[in-house]
Amino acid sequence: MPGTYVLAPEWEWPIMMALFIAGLAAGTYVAMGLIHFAGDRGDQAVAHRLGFIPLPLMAIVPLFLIFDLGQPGRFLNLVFRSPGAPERGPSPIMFNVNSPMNWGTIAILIFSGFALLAFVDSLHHSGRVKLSWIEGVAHSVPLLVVGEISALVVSGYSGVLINVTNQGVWSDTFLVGALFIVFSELSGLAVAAIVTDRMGATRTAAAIRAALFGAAVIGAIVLVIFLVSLASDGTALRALVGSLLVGPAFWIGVVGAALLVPLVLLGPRMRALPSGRLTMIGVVVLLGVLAFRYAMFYSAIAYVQS
Amino acid sequence: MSENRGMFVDTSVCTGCKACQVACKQWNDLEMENETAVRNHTAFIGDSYDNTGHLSSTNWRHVKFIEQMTPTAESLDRSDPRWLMMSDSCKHCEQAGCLEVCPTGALYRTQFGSVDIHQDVCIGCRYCVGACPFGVIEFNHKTGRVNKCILCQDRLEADQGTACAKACPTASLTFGKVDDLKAMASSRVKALHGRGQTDAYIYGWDLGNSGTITQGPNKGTAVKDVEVVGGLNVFYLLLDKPEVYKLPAHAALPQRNFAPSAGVALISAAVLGVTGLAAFRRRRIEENATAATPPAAG
Repeated sequence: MPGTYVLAPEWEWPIMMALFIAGLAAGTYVAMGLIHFAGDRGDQAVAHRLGFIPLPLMAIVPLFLIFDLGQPGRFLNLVFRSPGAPERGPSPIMFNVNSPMNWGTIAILIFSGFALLAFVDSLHHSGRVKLSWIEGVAHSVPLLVVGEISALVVSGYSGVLINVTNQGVWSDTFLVGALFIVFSELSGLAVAAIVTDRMGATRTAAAIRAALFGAAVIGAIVLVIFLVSLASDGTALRALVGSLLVGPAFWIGVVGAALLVPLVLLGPRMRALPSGRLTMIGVVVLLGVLAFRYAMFYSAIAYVQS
Repeated sequence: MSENRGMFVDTSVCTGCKACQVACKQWNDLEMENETAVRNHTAFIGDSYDNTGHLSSTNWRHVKFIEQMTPTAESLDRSDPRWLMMSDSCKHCEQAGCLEVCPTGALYRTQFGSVDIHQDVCIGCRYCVGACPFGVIEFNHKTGRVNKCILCQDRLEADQGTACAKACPTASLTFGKVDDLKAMASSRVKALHGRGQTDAYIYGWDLGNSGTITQGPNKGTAVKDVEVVGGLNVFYLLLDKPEVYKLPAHAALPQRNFAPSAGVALISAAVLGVTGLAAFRRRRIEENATAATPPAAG
């Protein structure tokens, strides 16, 4: 129980929002890539609409981080090795291989490039700009694969990051990275569900709906294993599921909105949904994923308070 | 032989005078605690003779007062307490969690083996705060950066010992080469055991000592040397279980979770990918099946 002796890192709502939005952007990119890879010509309109979403979201992320750090210039020390830190070697790039925060910073920078590419590609397909070269670049399979990998790293690194601490709940199991990836993809598929529903793309909606159901099944399985792994530390489990600070968000948001809603309403035996229903489900899942980020971040504080 | 410098903290002779705390504040020019709270007489913690409570960004050294009373159900007699004192600070771990996670290189290992902070490089991300297994390093809201004991780096560069050790009137704090301090600690434990105080053992290095607690609520409990995070350059002679001093018996590096966490995340990403691909494939199969089904007669 290392968490008993440590101080809470005071990571609060700006960090939580930054990571939720980055996860949403990465999840949306993954959903877009999924349609590119697995869909057919009829699905591409949805993929191109989704391509508009990651870049603006990634532009918002630094605003929250700057608000939290207080000074925009401080970011530079995450990317470039400061001359004041000669112990880290001669490389001009700051990269501490043992720090998930450095891995995440590099992944965010790379992913932002792919988000920009997807945005420009979507602009091209919308007819607002004409760039003949963009299709060959943005739809190249190797580049899409690298983009998907960078998106997945952005989805999961913050979970690995809080796993690599000595905080109660966060460090009591090594499943947080997996949970963050699953919930990030849930949010991306929820966005895809909303977009397909609004566009009236019923064929794509059918596949997205099934993918969202599948992600919810995986999310439920990983969450159960996570809770079982926490059970050896009763305080950690209570902080997450039983504390006043986190418990309601966990049960209503994470279990109810993010997992049970898609599991119950999107199962393979459920009938076709009327127009607008998939949008509602998508919004509820997004709120559930936000509740997940809240529950995970504040569980360490709940642990210290308990 | 290691040239690391550190401190041996012999809690058996600490009187709780707090001279070390004052010397630390003075030498490092640290601010007083929350000024408003002091002015309003609410800064004192109220349940102990201890008045600062814990280490903080402006309290790089803190003398813990552990007051063990033995009141029974019949009597709340507090006339025969056992007092344990311990001058606490950063342990300058051999494997330092704070240093390992620092994403900017602000935390670094000095030529003396201690862990120092480049204040101008720190961005205040607070990752080190959550990573330190001892709750030592704290975020300073005024500067937006983190602070902790730096083992008087400026004094060490001038070939002087730490200010706290210099001020200690009972030699509870001894500064020196870690190897010399370990030898000193070992002989001190043996001397105490020879005098019947068999509860003495070392926290920070395993020097092979073991004993039994002779007083207090844990009387009769076996204790032995505890080595954590590869050894501590500031280490302790304790007289009761580590938990009594609010020290973790099993402090660990946060990196223990890195590879397993990343590995499981990778597997979950692969499973998610397969599930997504399967969703589209299933749609295609259903569409093909529908297309192949002849329309119903009539």
